[in-house]
Amino acid sequence: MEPLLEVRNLTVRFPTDDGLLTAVDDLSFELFPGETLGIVGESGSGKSVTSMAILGLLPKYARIQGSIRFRGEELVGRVDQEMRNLRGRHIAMIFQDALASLNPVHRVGAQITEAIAVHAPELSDTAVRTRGLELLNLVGIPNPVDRYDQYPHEYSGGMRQRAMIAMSIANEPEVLIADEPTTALDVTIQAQVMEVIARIQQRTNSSMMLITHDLGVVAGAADRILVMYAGRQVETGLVDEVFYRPAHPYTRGLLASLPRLDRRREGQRLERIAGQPPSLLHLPAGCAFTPRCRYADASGMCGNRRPELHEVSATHSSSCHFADSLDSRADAS
Amino acid sequence: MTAVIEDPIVTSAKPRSQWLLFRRRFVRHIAAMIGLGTLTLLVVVCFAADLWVFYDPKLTSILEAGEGPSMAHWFGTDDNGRDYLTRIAYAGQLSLRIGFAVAFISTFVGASLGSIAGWFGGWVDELITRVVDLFLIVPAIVFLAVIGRKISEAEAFLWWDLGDEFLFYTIDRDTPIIFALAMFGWMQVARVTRAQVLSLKEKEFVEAARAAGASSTRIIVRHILPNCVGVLMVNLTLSIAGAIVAESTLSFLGLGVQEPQTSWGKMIADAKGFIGTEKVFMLYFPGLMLLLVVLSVNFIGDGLRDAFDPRSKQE
Repeated sequence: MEPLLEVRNLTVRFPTDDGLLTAVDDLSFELFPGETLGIVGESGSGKSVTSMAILGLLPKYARIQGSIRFRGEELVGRVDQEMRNLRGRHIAMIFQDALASLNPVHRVGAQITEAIAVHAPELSDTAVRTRGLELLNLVGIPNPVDRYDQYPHEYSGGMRQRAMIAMSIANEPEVLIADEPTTALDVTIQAQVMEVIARIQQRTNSSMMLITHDLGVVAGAADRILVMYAGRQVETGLVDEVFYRPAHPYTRGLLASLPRLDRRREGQRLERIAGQPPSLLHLPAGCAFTPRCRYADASGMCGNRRPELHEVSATHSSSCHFADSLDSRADAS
Repeated sequence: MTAVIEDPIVTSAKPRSQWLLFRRRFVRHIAAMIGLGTLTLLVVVCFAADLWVFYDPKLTSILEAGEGPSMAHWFGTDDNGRDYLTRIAYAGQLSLRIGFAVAFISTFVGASLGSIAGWFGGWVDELITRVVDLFLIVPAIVFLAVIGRKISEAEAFLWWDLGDEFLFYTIDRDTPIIFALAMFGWMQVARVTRAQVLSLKEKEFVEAARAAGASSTRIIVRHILPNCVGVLMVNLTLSIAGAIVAESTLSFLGLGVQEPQTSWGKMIADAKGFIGTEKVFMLYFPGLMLLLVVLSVNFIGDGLRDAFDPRSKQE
């Protein structure tokens, strides 16, 4: 199947006072029509920078290398004018903090229809409004007619996030980038919002990049997972493969550190990954995870040689020198 | 688009007026209403002076010079025997016109330059900020003094040769005063707007608007400036008051409007010699007018700011 979105060797660097900061390092992945790709990683692992690069919203001083193809067309190097036609119509984004992402002085209705007003200025006010009400209805906001004319501060947290979703799907984009859509919400609302997203995705048959650091959200919603660490791709595979047969020490660490209600024992502390993520200004020559890795090789191979992507299965790959032999190494150590 | 939802409530909805809500909030602001009433009254009284005054503002009468308030002369007469109430009305025309014109011009210029500087940043910002600094460090009073001198010296000011009318605006001798005052009134607005834009452009809703495909112009006009309205409104009202006072300063120094024209500031200047005498009322009347206008405008500004802010408590 032809990928809808294809990212090849994407590298994003930012010049800073202390040198060149590598936010995304040689990242490659593709997004197929109708699928949901979960991108997982901790803060600073390059998840949001990747999505901004796809939308062409990185600041001008960012240095971008590699290729981003949408429906076969190259996006890197396009001028803003061309990207603007794409944004909000073919590729749209659901932002993390809905309160901050809604303009406090405009009515919610006017904001969720902004993408329509921008891309189809010929539509009449009534047509735009009708569509806006439809959208509110679609994301499950009660009393759309009253809610349409309210301001963001009159909405509850969950409703704001729904309004954000309505805003991003206004033009039924092919690619939906959800940047931590549930981070600011409590668990009940989280589940509702994820349910709305799933419903909408099914309805519009759009592909989604679900960016999150919440493995639980990914497990429930994604088809495939891409794990990122320090701007690099660490592991990628189908959800079940990554969850049940993690082939990278970092992924293993992440999964082990999830709190489990069923295995909890008195006095037992939560598993954690020792150490700190590396500075993006001074990445290790080899695998970026080496300093924190329990499986790291004493011969210096991990610290000096950058691992290639190893195929574990046709759909599953890991960038660890010892991707195939992790279990035996764990026993040895 | 996918299936249309056949919901009668959804499809029958009509847009509601934003203006209505704004107006309702403004009308309920008591101080603003009092301010608006007072200001309207002053404006009408001053600009309709031709219809109601009993005296010629330029007619002197030595026999009646320096009289206190009486039935014939409600506000008394000045030291040339001219009716003081009449003078106040005509002076008000000038003061109000200068005040409003200066405030609007400097707010417009300041807001435009400030938002351009804040939004585009880089060398554009650097340039505009330096120009603002330059205007701020030049002692305005010296500059204005030079311009004031020029006006009083030359009947036909350089650009004035293009005629007495420009578009619908009658060019008077006070037009250069307006531009001179506006020239030194826009920097504060520019700075404040720039600061606002700098903080607003980092907001996520701007990012969200860009992600929706909005252009820079659309984002500035629809997302940034509406968020600056409160600040601009306060600045506008303050600069109306400021401009009237600044014009008084010029007139006080004898550099603003010239006889036989007069303004409230000039009347105060002319009456300064009566401090400590029983004719001090000559200072009070124009001063009171100035106070009324400045207070009214500030109250209106308060009301407008509250009415523009959708988060304000009043419904």
